[in-house]
Amino acid sequence: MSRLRSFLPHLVLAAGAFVVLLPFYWMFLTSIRSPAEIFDVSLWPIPKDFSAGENFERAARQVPMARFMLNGAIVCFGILAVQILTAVPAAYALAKLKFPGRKLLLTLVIAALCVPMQALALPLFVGLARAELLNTYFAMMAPFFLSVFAIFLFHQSFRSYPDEIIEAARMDGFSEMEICWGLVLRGSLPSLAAFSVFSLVAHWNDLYWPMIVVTDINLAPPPLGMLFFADVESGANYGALMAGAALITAPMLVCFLLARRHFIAGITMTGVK
Amino acid sequence: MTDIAPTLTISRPPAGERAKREKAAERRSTMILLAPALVFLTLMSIWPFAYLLYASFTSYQLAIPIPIEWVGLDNFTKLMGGARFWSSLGITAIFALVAVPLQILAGLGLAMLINSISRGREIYASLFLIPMMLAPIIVGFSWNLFLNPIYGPLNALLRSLGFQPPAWAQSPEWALPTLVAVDVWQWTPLVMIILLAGLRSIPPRVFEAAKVDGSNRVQTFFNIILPMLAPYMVVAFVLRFIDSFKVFDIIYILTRGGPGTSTQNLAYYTYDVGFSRFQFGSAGALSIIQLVLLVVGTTVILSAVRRRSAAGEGGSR
Repeated sequence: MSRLRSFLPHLVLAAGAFVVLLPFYWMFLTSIRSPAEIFDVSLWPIPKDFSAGENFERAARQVPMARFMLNGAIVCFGILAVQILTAVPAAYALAKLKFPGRKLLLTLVIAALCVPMQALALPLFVGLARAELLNTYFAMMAPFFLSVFAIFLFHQSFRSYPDEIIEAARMDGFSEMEICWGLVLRGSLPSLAAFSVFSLVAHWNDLYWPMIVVTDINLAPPPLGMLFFADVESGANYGALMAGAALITAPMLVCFLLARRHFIAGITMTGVK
Repeated sequence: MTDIAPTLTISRPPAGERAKREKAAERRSTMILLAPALVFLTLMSIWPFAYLLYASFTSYQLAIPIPIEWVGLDNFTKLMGGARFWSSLGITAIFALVAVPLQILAGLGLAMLINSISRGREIYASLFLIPMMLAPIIVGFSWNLFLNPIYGPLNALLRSLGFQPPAWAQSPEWALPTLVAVDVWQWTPLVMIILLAGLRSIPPRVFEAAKVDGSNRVQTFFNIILPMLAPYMVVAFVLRFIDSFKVFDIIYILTRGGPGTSTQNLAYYTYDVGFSRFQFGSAGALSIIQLVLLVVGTTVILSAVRRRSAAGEGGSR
């Protein structure tokens, strides 16, 4: 009886996981099945006619899949690099230095956290259009160069860095920049990892902003590329479409599996003050 | 890092002089540290916001080259006179006030279940987190396929059980519930992880004390777990509440706001007005309305929570 009792949560959880992952699993199944099997609704993982090759090949042939992935990588890492460069020093100043307007700036950062991208999309679009920067990597990256979320996250974790060490480093003639990058950030590497995963996932997956500023298919990051692809296929070949979907999901899945702990810790950190 | 401490002895200049020079240097280095963030905050948040505010009071249209005129509150009154505004407001409200509480409930259930087992916690947590890693467009595509009325597995199963399943995302009655379900599916994991962290933070001796006091499971849940979890639930709720205003991609892929305009939320409506018809005045007004709703909504939630915890036994923490 007690055995059953301890087994029951596992049973519920396993069933839950099965239900949660079903649509995702179905995507994968479709990507390796032949078009003839589209009416086959069995969940059996081995298709009668293994067509992964054709589907993936078709996905790669019809649209520049590799190009989409490259675009995505350029945009994501570009954004991440600038975000770290802008947010880390600001978070350090907010957490460890006293200056007039510090409270105000912190309030502003938290307020900016609430403003959705969609609201600011319009003026940013107009600005980029005026500067004739539409259809560039820069246009896809620029609005995200400052992440208030990053400032918030780093601020939370920098605060716990011991002041005595900072004082001692100052006495030794270290500049604030050296203290910030060399000492304090090094003490917060888990936060850095967590934020990196967040940022990469968010921008790799983003459709909204690239859809607004990019019409050139050669610059499209993966989600926008998928949209082009879906229009080309117009729903005729689900296998190839899902093969494309599986291709662009794979890097994020690997990224997640590698940094799973940091990712979870990152979410937790935003909640625990 | 601690090897810095022993090298502390340095000859120092006179106190007053030193303090002054240090202060100036400190101010300079603070500015250098803050400058990049301030520049981008101005360019990417403050300026666009000011522009938006300005546009919302003008007749700005990109498609028609008419002179830009100051029209006062016209954009706002015109919007509020239209049925489409109110229906999209309703859809946004459903995501914020139905989908989000469902996520909290489901997340709480999952977190409690995962917390109750001793082995395999991390495996389950990781499995449940996968939907969150997927691009909304991929989520849209795979659900589209899964729910396809003709060759989707779900309807095949329902038909074989003798039901007459609807066309889900394409049917007028089921399109919205389908979108809500997909949103809940994708974002419950986030709530789950936050609440799991909350559960882990409750010291085991609290449960032992409750047991000694003869409190049963239900009592323990309502008197101990729920109050101690409250701060985490608030964080999860606020995070999801803010995000719920941004739902766009899954609507775009699954229903394109249809049938008709029945599943358009404010974000979708804004996109349509701003980027399909380039009526920047109206789109600006719509964005401002969303911002006001978000700020008011978040403030109401937080102040209600603060009042509750002030009224309760001096707060649960």
